[in-house]
Amino acid sequence: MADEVVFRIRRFDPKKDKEPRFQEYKVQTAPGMTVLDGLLHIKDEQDGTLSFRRSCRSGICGSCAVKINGASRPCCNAQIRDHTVKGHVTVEPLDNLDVIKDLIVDMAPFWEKFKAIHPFNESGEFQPTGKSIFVIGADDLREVRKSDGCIFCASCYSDCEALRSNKDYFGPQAMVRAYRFMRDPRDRLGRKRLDKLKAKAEKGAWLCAVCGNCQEVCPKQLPTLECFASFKNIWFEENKAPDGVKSTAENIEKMGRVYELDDFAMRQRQKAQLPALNANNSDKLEPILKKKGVAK
Amino acid sequence: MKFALFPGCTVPAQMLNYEISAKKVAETLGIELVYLTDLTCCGYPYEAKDSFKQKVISIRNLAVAEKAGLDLVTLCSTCGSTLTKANHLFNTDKNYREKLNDALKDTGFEYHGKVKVKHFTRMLFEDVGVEKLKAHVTRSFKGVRLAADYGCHYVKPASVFEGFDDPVRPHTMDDVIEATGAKSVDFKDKMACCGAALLAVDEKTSVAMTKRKLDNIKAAGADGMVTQCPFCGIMYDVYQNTIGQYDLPVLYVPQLLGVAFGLDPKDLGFKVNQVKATSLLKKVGL
Repeated sequence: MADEVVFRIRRFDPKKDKEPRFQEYKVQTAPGMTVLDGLLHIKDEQDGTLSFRRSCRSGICGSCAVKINGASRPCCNAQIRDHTVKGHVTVEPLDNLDVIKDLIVDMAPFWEKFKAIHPFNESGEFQPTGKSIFVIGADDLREVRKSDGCIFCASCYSDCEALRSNKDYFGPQAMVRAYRFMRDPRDRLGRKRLDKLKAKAEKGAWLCAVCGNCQEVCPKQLPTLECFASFKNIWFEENKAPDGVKSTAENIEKMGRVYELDDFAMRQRQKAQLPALNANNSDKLEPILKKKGVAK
Repeated sequence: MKFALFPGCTVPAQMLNYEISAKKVAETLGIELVYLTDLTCCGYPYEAKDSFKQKVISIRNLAVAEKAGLDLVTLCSTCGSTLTKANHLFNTDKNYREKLNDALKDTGFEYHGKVKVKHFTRMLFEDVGVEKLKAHVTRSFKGVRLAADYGCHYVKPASVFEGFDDPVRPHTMDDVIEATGAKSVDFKDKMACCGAALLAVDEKTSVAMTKRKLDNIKAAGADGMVTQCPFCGIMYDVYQNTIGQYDLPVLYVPQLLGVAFGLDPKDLGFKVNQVKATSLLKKVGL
C-alpha cells in the first residue's frame, strides 16, 4: 500500500526569488522508494522546474547529496521510510556552498580545495621498468584503504561546523584525501603534502573544531577524526603546533590536568564544600608520557 | 545508586556551578557520587600531540574506576566522549587492547573493560528516568522556553555510543529539560558547535561560531539556554557579554533541575554564572 509523504523542499531561483522558500509536494510512496525516487517523481509528474543533481542512483557517484532533515547525504540510498518525520521529508541544498538553483550548489570551492592538496600520487624519480612493479605491503594497503573510498559527495563539507564560520578552512574532504595520499608508500611527496595544506590555510588541520559531523555524515564512514589527529601528531612532532595547543599539552605533562588548581580555586572549592582534589597529578601520568616510541 | 564522578579539568577549576549543582541534584535523587583522587585529565587535548598516549591516559582513568568497582559519570561532554571512545576501542579491537594494557603496565593499573562511562545527563535519563525526575519537581518551569545545547561530544562519534540517542536529532537532554515542565524550543542549527576547540587556535572563528548559535537561540525567543558541557558554558556564558547584548541566562542541566526540585539557587552555584539568571528565575516565582 502506498503511503502519502509530504516532501518539503527548499527552493531558490536567483533569477526570480529574493529569498529561498519551502515548497511542499505530496508524494505517493511505495516500499523501497528512495528520497531521490521521490524527487524524480516530483520532477516528472508534478513540477518540471525543480532542479537537482543526480547520476548513478547507486550510491557511487556522489552527485546527489542534499540535506535531508538537517543532515547531508547522498539521497539515492536514503529510504523515504527511514527519513519521514511526522509525515514529512525535508530536503535542502548542501550547506557551506552557494546555491545555483534549488538543490544545486556551486561546487567550485570544494574542488578548488581538493585540487590544492595535490590529489594524486607523485611518483618522482621512480619509474617502473621491465619486470619491476611496486608492491604495497598489507599494512600499508590497510592504512590507505581505511581513508580511501571518498565519493566526492561533499556531505562532510556541507555539515562542517568550522567552515560555516571560516571559509578559508580546507574542510574535511580535502584533508582526508591528503591523508590518503600521504599514507601511500608509492607517493613521493609524503609530508610535503602537508605544507600544501598550510600554504592554503595557514593553520591547516588545526582549524577543525572537532565537532565530529564529518565522520557522522560520511556515506563511506571514513575515519575523518583519526586522519586529522594524525596530521596534528605529525605537526606537533615538527614543532608546528599552535602555541595554545602546545601549552595545553604541556599542562597535562606538568600537572596531569589542563587548568591549574591554584590556591584560589582550592579555597573556592572548600567554600562550596566540594571535596579537595590533587593540584598536581603529573606523577600518575608520568609512566605513560615519558615512554618513547610507543606503538601507534 | 553509586558512581565515581569524573570531574575533568574545566569543571573543578572554572565551572564550580556545574559541580555544585550536580552534587546537590544527585543527593536529592539519592545518588552517591564518589571522588577518586587517582583520576587525571581524560586525555582529550593530548590527542593533538600523541593520539595513542591520549588513549592510554583515558584507559588509565577507566582502570582507576574499575579498581574501585564503580562506573564513571562525567560532567563534561568531551570527557564523556573521549573515555567512551577509548573504552569502545579497548573492547572491540583485540590488538589495540593488548597495546593499551602494555602501555599501562608502568602505571600500576590494568584494565579489563568492565567500566561503563556515562554523561551526567545520560545517567539521569537512563538510570534515574524522566518519570522519577518529574516526581521530584516542586517548582514547575511550565511556560518557560529553554534552548537545549547538547554539546557535540554528548552523542558523537555515534559509533562509540552504541545506539545511545541520535547524533543528528537527539532527544534525551530535551526530555530531561521538559521533565521540569519547561518547553525545549526548536531553533536553527540546534546541534551547532560552540567553537571552543578553536579558541586556542583561531579566536575569530571560534567566537563567530558561538555568536551564530546565540543569534539563533535569541531568534527563537528562548528565555534561557541549558547546557551540559563546561566548554560550551565558557563560550555561551562567560564570553556572552563580550560577543553581544543577549541577556540570555545559561544554566547547567543540574542547575535547572535543582531549581525545579525546589532547592535554593544559592545552593546551586548561581553566583558563578556570568549572565545573571534573575529574569529566568523570576518566571518560576523566585
